[in-house]
Amino acid sequence: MAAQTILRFFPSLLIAVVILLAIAFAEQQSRHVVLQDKTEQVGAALDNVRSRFERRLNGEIQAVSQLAGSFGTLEGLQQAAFERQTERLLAGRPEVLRTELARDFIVSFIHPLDGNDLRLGLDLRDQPRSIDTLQRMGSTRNARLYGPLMDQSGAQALAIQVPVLSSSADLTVLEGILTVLVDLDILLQQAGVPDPDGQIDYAILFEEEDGAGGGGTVIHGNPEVIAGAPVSSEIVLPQAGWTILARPSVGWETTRAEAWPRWVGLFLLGGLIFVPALAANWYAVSRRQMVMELEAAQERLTGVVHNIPGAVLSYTMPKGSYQPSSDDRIEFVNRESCKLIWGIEAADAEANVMVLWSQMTDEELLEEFFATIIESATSLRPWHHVWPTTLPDGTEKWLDGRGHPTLLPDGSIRWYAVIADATADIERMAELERQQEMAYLAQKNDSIGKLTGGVAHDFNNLLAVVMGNQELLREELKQIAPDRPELFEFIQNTLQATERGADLTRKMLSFAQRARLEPAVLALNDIVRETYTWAGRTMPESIHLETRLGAGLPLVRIDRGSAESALLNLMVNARDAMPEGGTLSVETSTLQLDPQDPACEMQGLEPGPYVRLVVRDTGKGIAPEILPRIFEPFFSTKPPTAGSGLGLSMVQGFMEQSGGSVRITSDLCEGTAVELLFRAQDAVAEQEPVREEPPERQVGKARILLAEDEYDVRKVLAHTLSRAGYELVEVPSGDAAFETFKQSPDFDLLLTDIVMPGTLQGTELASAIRCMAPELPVIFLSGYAADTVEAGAAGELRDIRLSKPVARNELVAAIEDSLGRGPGGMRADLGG
Amino acid sequence: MRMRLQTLLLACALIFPAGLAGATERVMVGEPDWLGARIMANLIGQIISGELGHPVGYTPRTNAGIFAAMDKGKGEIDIHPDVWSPNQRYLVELYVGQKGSVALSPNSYEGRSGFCLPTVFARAHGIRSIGDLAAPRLRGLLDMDGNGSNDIWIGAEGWASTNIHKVKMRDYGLMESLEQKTDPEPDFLARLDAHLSSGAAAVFYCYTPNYQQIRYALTMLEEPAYDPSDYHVVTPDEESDWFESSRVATRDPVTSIRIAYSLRLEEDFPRVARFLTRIDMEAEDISQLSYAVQVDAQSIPDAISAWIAAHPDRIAAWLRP
Repeated sequence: MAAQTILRFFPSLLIAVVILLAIAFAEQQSRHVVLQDKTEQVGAALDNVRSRFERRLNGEIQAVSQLAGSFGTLEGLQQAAFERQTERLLAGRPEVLRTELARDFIVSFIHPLDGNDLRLGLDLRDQPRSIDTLQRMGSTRNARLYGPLMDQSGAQALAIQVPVLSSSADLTVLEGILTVLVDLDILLQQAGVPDPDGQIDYAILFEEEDGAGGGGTVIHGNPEVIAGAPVSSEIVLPQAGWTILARPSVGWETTRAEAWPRWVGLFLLGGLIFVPALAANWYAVSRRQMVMELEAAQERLTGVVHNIPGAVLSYTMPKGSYQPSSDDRIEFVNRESCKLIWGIEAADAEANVMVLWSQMTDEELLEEFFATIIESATSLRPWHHVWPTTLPDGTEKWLDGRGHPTLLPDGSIRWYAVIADATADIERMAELERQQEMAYLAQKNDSIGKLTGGVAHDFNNLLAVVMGNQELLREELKQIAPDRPELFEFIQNTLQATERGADLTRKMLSFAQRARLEPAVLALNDIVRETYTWAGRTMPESIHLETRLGAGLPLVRIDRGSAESALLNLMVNARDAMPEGGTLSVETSTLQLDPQDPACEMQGLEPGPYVRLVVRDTGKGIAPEILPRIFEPFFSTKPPTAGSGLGLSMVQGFMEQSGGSVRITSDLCEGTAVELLFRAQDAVAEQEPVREEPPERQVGKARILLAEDEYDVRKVLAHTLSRAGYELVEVPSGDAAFETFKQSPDFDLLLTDIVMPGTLQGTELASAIRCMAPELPVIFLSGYAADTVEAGAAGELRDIRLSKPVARNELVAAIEDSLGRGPGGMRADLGG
Repeated sequence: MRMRLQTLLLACALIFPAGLAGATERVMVGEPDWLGARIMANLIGQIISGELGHPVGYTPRTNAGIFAAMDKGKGEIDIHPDVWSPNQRYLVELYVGQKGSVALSPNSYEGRSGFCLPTVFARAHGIRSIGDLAAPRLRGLLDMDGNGSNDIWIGAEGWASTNIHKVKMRDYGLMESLEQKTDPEPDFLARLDAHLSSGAAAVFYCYTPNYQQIRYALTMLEEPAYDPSDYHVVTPDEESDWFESSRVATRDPVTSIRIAYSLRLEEDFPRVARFLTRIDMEAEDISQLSYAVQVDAQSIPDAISAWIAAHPDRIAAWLRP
């Protein structure tokens, strides 16, 4: 993070560095300039001092020369005269320390004499200057200047020596040497040294003479001046070559007080440059960051827009317009989606937005859509609309649109809308509704089935009592009134009515899929022929019958009675659909269902070979709106007295129970075709063997434990079986049967109802007893077919399940079979 | 045609100002007034003009004047041929140390001063140090004026060194043993020449480089090593009792003699500057040249020319690129 910040503000840092470097360079230059200024100032002051010093020295030399010239010959010169002359000519010169006049190089006069009298008689030739020099002065008449030297008073002095000459005719005679010591410090003060302002230090380099050749240099003033890189100036006098030095008292370096304003100025200037640069950098960084964020947002938005399953629109309605029109302008539409949704190029839509809405060919729907838009535009509320549209290539779609209006400052309305292809959703919703409807029907059928099953159970018990008693009565009548055939006819009619009642019960249970079927592998054509033969006789002459039975059909596994009943129902329905007459045809054929067949997809059939039975009529047909309901139990298009409404329900139940399906196609005024599809078996139909009537079964001795909660049923069964010769022990419940068996287990067979009051139901009773007598045969009885199935699942394969009502012969046969005395020995299973 | 020539010359002057300057400017050699300095000035000048091909001028000036002129760097004076240290220490410190406008050649020769006597005599009498002169056995052996007492020439009157030697004689305890003489140098030298030629011996102030070393085969007597604390000089100009105030109990400081030159030579005359950094004279060389001038009465230029001709290898070494 820190590295990124540094990188972003690198230009500012660079500028800061450049500014600092510039400031440093400027400071250096400034110091250089200041140094130059100082050098020039000090140099100018030095030249001024040097010039004044030279003038002062020249003035001193002139004064001394004038004094020397005033003496002329020294003959007779007295000290007093010397003093007067000296005072007169050197008056007003405080720098003059001592004036000596040496006659023949011997100091003869001194002024002032006080304090210097010891110098009287001093030989100048003992002085550290060559006698040649003194003699040369006489010939050259030049003054001599040397020093510095220390006066008796301790003052630093320069010595000015001039020859005192006397001239006579053409001869000039050196009379003596006039030496004047002048106070060097006073001379320098008069020249401006030391600096009155104390800002400049001065020093003077004097050169000594030496016979060795090198001479020497002595310094007057502060020796540290030399170490301070002084400026120098040569004091050029005919008598001497000295050097005067000068430097600032505080040195050449800029003092803090001098540098401070310059530094402040430089930093202010740097700040004036840097602050705008920093601001510009900050602005650039911020702008760059904003641009990057915008680019990222744009990228994200583009990603979102490109991945939205639909078209994203931004378009504007002009001010005052609330209804979509060609004046609307599309400002943005994702181009690929435009092509996918509407099948037109985005450019065409941008040229005229109405091409999008004009795909709604239905005027009413278009008006409805426009109304939605107008309402949204006027209320400025979002709109949501789903509408069908037809693409240019004829493809029909459902579109789902959502839009949000925004009122712009100029009064126009900008829409942001998303239009999605909702075709799949709409189709899924329709399918869902259909599935819901089917589920509703299935639930309804299931409820009815349960109700029907319950009714059938009780009804079968009633029928069992009626049938049993009728059969007992018929047996009695054979004993007591064998010559009254009309009585036997009454009983026979009663038994036939009982049989029809049982058949009705079976139909109800078949619809409820609770009928106990006895499927067998059969040839469908045989069933069709037999049913067609006897049912055809019931058809009026106005109906023309046709059969087209396919050859070599595979066998099917079905319950024969149910199949006959189903065919009969379909033929009766066909007959009823043609009150004015028509053609009724029955067809059989083979059919190979593939996985894509609607029967597989919609009805759950397994793909493979099927045998098809079609019953077709040329009747009035079934209206489409009632076609989905025709399988409902008790739903009938016939008059209330014409049928039970259970026919097609039974057929559907039978087919589903048999692993097949039924489907109906019908066109009004053209007729109806009902198609039954049976799963084909591997074997092909052969000639069915002729069935023979079973001989009346002979019974043996057996002790049977009968458990039946219904008193009447139990009594009928007890009578029937007692008459048949069996020894019977009756009990009203499973619990009682179990107790009875424990006390006296010598029973040969258990005959038990399945559903009974108490803790032990039929199947549980059988299991409990078999713990004590595992080989005991058991026959289950039930008025509710499903119970027998459940019993079969709970019991053993050898057990026999019978549905009430059961005829005497069937019951006896079942007992004998269970006891192993029947023709087939012990039966395995009724359903197997 | 004439215009073209003028244009060409102007262009050449603009393009090659340094070259023109180098071709026409002279190298100016300062010429202090003592012999050794004039010999060195002439030697340098002849080599620059004869070997390096640059015109040379000579300007007599004081030390301070020469340094000041070199400091300006304008060609007024470019070379000081004989800078004595520590005599000129202030000038050296100012212009070399502080201003940096003048450079000193790395090579130097030494200048020594002391008291000499003929080597033969010194060996014969076992004289090695100045203190040996007080030995009574030497009485009368170093008598130049014939008054029976030994005497010593301590320099001409007026020389700065002469008063120092007066003090030194006192502080060495030789005032009783030696009679101090301060004759002018020419007079003394004339007498010395005659005296030594007669086989007599003398002791006197001497310094190197000087032709006397060549002419008389002298031995410089040992003195206590130079000690500034025992070398305090007060001049008569400073104090009337300068003699009493002074103390000089050691030998004179050894003087280092070098060449100084203006740094402008390194830019304008780099070969000259390089030559000046390499020139390496010995005190004996100067003594020989002094001998040729003082004794053989050769002119300085002639003596230098002869010396250059006699030392081609050394000259070539100084001029090697």
